[in-house]
Amino acid sequence: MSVTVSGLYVANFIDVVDATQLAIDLSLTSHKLALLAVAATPNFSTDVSWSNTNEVAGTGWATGGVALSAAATGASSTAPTVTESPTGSLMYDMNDVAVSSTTLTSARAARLYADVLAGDNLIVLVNFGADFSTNNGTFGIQWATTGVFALDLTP
Amino acid sequence: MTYAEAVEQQRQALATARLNDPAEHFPYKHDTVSALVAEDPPMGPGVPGDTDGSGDTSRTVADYMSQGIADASRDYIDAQAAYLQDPSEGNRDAYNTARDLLAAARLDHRAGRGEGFVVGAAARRAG
Repeated sequence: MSVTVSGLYVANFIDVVDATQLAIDLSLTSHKLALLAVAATPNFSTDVSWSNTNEVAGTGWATGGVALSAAATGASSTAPTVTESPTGSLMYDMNDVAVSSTTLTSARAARLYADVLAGDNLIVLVNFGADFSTNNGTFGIQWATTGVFALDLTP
Repeated sequence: MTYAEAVEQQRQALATARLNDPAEHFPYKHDTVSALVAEDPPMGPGVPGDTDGSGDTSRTVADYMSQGIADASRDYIDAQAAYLQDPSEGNRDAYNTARDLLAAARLDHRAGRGEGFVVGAAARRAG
């Protein structure tokens, strides 16, 4: 296995809405984006917590990732939002990620997790589809018009 | 204590903790972002072993940010703070309105981008 698809971490989303009451607030900006190498082996059904296995880090992007409060242009907040878009769907979105002065090698995916929770609970993995590197440059993620992810709640 | 009372107590505690957390995003860095938008400096990834990112003009600030998004982000974060401090119906409405205006500003900036689940990194491919 390796990074081949994007996905949400199912066990944690179940814990958000059941008696566990896992406190993942998607509007928080203390959540962190960590980068992964292609060798990572995500399991969206069983993975629960962030770990540094197969993580990509380097100058300007520490192990553990970059907080959303400082991941956009000028180390500003990505201002994450949760809206209805399109009708009947829940969309999680944020300003584009643009972290300057980074030197990174072969990042294949980004993984968002709740750094403030004791369990460092995983939220979503975004597969870039190829390896990306920087040389004292900006590592950026330009999100789609459909946001980071959207859940069709009225299929 | 009833379940409803416990939920409200939890909500208040979380809101207060969030507003006081220095790792959170209050207030938005509007002046910093606006200055960068006006200057529009290079923000390319550079090429490993070749071009230094500081001289890579393949992308600039305008590829990631607009003044409209910066203004809407400021308003959204201000409205969010007000709502966390006082979850009144009026503040909730203002928060939702600011949120929707930010979403609209993003949509305007992203015209022409794809609609896939993943859009990928703007960083240049390695090698």
